[in-house]
Amino acid sequence: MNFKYLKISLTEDFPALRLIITSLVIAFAVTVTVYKHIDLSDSVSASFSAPEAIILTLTDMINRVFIFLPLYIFVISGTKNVGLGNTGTVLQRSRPGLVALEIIKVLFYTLIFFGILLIIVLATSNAAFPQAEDFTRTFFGASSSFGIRSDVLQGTPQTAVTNLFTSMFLTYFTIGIINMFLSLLLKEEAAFVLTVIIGILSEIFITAYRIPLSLAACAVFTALSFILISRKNL
Amino acid sequence: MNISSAKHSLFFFVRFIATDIKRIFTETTFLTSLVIGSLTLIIPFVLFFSNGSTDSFSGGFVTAQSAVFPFVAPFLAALPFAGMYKYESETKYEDLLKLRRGGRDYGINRFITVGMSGGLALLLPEIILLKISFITIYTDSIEDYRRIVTVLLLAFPFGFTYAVLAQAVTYFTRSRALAIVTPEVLYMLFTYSFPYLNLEEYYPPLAISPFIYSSPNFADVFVFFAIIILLSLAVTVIHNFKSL
Repeated sequence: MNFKYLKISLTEDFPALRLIITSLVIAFAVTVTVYKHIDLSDSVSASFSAPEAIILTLTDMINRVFIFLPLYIFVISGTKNVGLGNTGTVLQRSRPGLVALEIIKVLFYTLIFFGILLIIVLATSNAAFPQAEDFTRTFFGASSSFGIRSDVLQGTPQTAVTNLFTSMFLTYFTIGIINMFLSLLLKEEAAFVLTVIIGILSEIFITAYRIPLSLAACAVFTALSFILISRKNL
Repeated sequence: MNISSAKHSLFFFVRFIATDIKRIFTETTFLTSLVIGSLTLIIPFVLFFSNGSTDSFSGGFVTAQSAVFPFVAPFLAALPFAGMYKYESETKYEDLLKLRRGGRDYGINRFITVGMSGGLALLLPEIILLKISFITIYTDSIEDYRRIVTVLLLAFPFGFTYAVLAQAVTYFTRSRALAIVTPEVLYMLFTYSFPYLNLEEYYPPLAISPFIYSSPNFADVFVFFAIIILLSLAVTVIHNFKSL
């Protein structure tokens, strides 16, 4: 793998405009979710704490599947060596090297995306709701009606938030790698649409069959990396 | 600019728009948009009557019109012609059209036809639905006609607004598909969020099917249309400033 090329390929197609649009939409969506939870807490006569609001934001199906996931793929698919094109393969000297470099790029932009998501979600929830060390009793009672799985609510609220973020990161990163493979084969738009469909189906599958989120993500990720390592001439 | 050249440019303006409007009807994307629009109107209409609700004319028409159609309307409006300017500059057909016009750009002339294509893509399916509803039920009440006229009057400006917005977005991206989808995405985002933010009276689908809400305010709707059209016009004019 040619590491001289890494810096060029990371900085050349930096999707600045896409990241700005993404952060605006995330801020809007999170604000709407917080408003929704204030309405809910009035109707259920429960008062949420900040970690609980974060859990509600991250487990909300509309946020997770229809807002954050397409935005994530929107950011990822804007980074596909438009300027260099096939010259990239020549500079990289080998195809496995190119794939490895693409995975590093996906990881880099996933980290940026999750940084933005983390900052906005934490800032909005902490501004609107009070802090708490433990789950409130009313939240436990109402959690099943909000569609939150019981395995999410183990340990302290902080552990639950960390687990949710980690599992979400792994799931999205896997979907980003799938998008990377598809966009090597297809046009950007076709890869985008296919990945969104695959992402929505997998999220629904994970929710319907109650598969532990991190386990599912790890399984797919391990399988993909095994394919990568075993096939030298990809 | 002397009088003869002004006459000349007016002649080109009128001829360009006339040929472009004829071109709208030959585009496959326009036909696709018409077919999807008609299906989203006719299927709810058939379902409404198969449930045995045959109480009123405007009930059938208005219910079918406000079931699925308002939620895909911006996409249907942007699909036929909004990405055409971008497509022509990709395939160098733009150069031929510029050559015919003495080297000047045609973005501002195209603005009008793009808007018309969007308006027609929403108006024609509604006229088809109206025809079908007149076949199935007879009516002579004033209230029904008032509702029909309101719905038909709103369809064309709505399509015009969103098609023009999609065309304005093409100046900022390199992807045509992204520009066509952007108005729909914004529209769905606001449709999802406005009920939670206590902004029900500005619910975006009210602009095309106002009878979802009990007391719609039409003045606000037209102000909104005017703002979006002026913004898009400003973007187009700034982009084509050199060729004016």
